[in-house]
Amino acid sequence: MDTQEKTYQCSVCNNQLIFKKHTNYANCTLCTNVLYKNNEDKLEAKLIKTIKTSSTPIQIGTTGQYNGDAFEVIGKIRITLTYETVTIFTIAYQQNNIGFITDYAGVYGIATLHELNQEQIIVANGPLEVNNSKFPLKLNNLLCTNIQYSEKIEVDGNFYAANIFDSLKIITFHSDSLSKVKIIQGAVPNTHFLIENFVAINDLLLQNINNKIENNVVPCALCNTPIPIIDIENTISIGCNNCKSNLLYQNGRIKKFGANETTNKNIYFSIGDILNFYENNYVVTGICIKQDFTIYKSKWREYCLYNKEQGYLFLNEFDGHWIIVNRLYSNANTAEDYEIIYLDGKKYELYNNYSYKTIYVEGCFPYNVSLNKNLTCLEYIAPPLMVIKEEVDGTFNWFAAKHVSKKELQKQCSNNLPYTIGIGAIQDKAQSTTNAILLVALFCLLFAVLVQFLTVSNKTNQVIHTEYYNFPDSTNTVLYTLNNVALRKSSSNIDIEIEAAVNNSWFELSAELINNNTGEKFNVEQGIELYKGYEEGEYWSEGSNAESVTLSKVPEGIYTLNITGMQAPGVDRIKGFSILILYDTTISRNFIITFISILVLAGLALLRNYYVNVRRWKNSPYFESKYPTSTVD
Amino acid sequence: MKNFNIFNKNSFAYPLRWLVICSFFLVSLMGFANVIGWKLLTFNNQESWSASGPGSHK
Repeated sequence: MDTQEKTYQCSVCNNQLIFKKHTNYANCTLCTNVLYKNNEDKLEAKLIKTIKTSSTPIQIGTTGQYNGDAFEVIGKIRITLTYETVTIFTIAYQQNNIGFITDYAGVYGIATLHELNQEQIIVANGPLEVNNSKFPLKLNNLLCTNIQYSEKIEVDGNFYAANIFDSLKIITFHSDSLSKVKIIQGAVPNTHFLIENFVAINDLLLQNINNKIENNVVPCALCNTPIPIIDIENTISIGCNNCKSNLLYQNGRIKKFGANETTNKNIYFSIGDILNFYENNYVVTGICIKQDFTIYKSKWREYCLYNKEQGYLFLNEFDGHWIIVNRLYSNANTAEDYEIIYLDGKKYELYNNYSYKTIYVEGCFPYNVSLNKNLTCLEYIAPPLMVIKEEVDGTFNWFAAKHVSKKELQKQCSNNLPYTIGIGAIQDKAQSTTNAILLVALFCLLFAVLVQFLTVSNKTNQVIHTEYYNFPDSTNTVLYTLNNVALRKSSSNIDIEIEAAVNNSWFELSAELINNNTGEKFNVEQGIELYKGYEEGEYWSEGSNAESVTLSKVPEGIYTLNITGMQAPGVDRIKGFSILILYDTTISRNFIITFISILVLAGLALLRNYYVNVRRWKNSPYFESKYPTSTVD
Repeated sequence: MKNFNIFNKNSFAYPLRWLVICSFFLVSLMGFANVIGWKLLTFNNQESWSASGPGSHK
């Protein structure tokens, strides 16, 4: 790479040191001292440790591309904080400028550097306040999420960093647009900040990455049992499987912070199991059981999954319902109401608010599982998705979770997974909103209207025959024949509308349609009845003077139509009856049946949605506010 | 609500695919019935007879 660089002499061993443009630290390859290039362009030796072991896939010499710009990783600074470890790689672009890749246990960001005067920014535990219009930020909903001091700093290669004195103060602000701001304060007045943009590692097109799976082993602080650690750089909590101690692994030291409080594990995966999520294989590195502080003392199990390139996922199981959790880089929009948040345009409702403690630890975790004392979790749901806000000592982290189908997970597990109890918080059942159901129903109804319009637009509604027929004197039966009735459609219907002035009597019409060529016959009968009178002083009537009957699916041809009318003998005889015969009529009944059926289906969807969600929210402390008692049986 | 593909798991309509499929079936049946002159759900016991054998339309 054609990067401008300058050669210096190591102030300790006189070895030649190369500083790439815009960098200010390098560690000497001969004496391993870390040298700082001060404002007078002189090198000062610093008491900073160099990185001995590394498990990140990005290493010095890794090349890649970001937005079409090729870069090479030239240096690395690993900062161990109270709650996590962050690694900042310095990268040299081909255009001679530098940038950074930040790595939070597999969550990657591309960052740009901005120098900052102390007066330009006021930092508090809350929204970022800027008192200078020059501050080049146009990020939404910027919120301070984290103020931490480094507990350990290790470096390697040639890099840029704030002037490191004892420690670095790192203040993190999240925005809701997959960007965040990290202010790094070194020795005063040296302060700078990074604007980071979340990036998927695959998009960086990295070459020459570290593929080695390290099998590091650390001894248990109590029983000396060797404990294997896959990700030595990010592992913070460890559970010893032998003495059941819970251990904290920080700064290369290991110390006990507790012990397992339960043996009732109900654990379905083992350390070392391989699980596939999002088309990547993850290895189970840790298992823990957490218990909330409610009266129910609910327990759930968490499996820590690790992939060298993709970082960490957490598989949680409660009452047989599974969710997969990943760290969220962006900040959900909480501006409107604390019970409603928005993320990527999706609305999430507050479902749960709890604190918990960890009662069982096995294997390794990239966070301190013991930091439960002042921890509060807020869970917001939009099934099958969840957003989790975890707050501890004024610092908070966002996580995103997604429901995992038990059926799909069972394919990856040799043990029988537990039966599900009730409806899970984000179980993918009846997850549609009322608006979505109404929209889909409307679409279906419009489709029905369109099909109805298209299929009836060529109906002829042709009148074949209309006549009033008289009964001859003293006869109760009359027979008429219509010859050469031409039906021109390959298949259609004939409607016969009958009117007979019956009064406490009946009339019956029988129609027989005979195809002159094939002899095929179609018969139909229709009765007309009307009975009325007074009973106990009240008038009643039953039946009518008019009816209609349809001959369906009559094929094309020349037909003879025989019509037989018959009435009841007696005093209430009628003089005659009228008929109207129509061919190829519009059948509005078909449309009405379809329309009502779609409405019934949509109604069933709404009902199912309602009752499933009532069951879902019954596990929530916010049930009463979501479904006030008066609306639920 | 941009994605209306009922077979795409990310679509808002995916959980309602059964409603869309049932409605599509009903509408298709209605269209077919309209074209051949079939009045749905009629029980007038229409009978037919042809030389090739008896049949029944309801």
